[in-house]
Amino acid sequence: MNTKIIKIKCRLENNLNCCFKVMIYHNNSNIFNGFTDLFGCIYFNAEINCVYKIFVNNCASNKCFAVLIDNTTSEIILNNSFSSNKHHSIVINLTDQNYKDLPINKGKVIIWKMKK
Amino acid sequence: MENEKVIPITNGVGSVELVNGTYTVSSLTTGYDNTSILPAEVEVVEGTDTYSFTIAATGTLTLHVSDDGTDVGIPVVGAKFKRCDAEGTEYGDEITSDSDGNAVFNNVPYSEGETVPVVYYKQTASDLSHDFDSSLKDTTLTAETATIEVENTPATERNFNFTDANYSGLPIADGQIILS
Repeated sequence: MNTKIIKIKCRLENNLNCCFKVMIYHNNSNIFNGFTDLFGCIYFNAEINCVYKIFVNNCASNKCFAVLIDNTTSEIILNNSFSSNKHHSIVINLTDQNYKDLPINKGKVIIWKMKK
Repeated sequence: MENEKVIPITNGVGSVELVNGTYTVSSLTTGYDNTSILPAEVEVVEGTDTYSFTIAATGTLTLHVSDDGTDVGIPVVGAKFKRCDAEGTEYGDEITSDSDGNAVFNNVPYSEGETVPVVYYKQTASDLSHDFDSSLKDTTLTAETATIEVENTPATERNFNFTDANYSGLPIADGQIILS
């Protein structure tokens, strides 16, 4: 397993650094949780050629980033914007209409944001 | 499309990260009527992280039950079946074979394409004169209607003696024993 220490730097749009909670997922499993330091930075040991989902949040901003760590990656800078419309992870259940609670084995649910 | 999210579903569950708001819902699920997904709109709100949808299929699976498992065998009336998932958990209403030996599952998935959803079911009862296989069965429907032949072999013949309780061995000339 080829790994390296990656620096993640989180900052808001106006370049101010502040404290963020960082949660890192690999293959939908949570592998790392932590808080950024005074400079908005956090470090984690990543496997090369792997894709990670990095979920960054604080009271003003919430975002999820998908990143691929390769041999050239040493620092990831994540810019978060102020947003009052938080996004969060939701679970979708899909079952058979005529056989109550029978799960649909394979399928896709497609959703479109309705225009205001 | 920027405003669109596609959520893959496996074994009834999928997940997505989503901002709050109102969304139109549709589906791409092989074997099912994609226009039937309900609800057709959903409002994602803070504090609620699970949203449930249902979808309907339009195929028909007939289980023809007979004593020899053929379409010309003696029909078995009263054989019961239930839909299941891959683990054998039962769902929906029980169906029962009629005087022709036919038990019908309506609204089952089918597909004429390469990917065909698997339909699981099991027999839960027969009439009292036939044995049956209660193990989990599976099939796929490549057309809207399909019939499967099910064998329920005649049970072992049993003999009953009926005598007078107070006159040892004296046979009862005429009567009935009812087993239920």
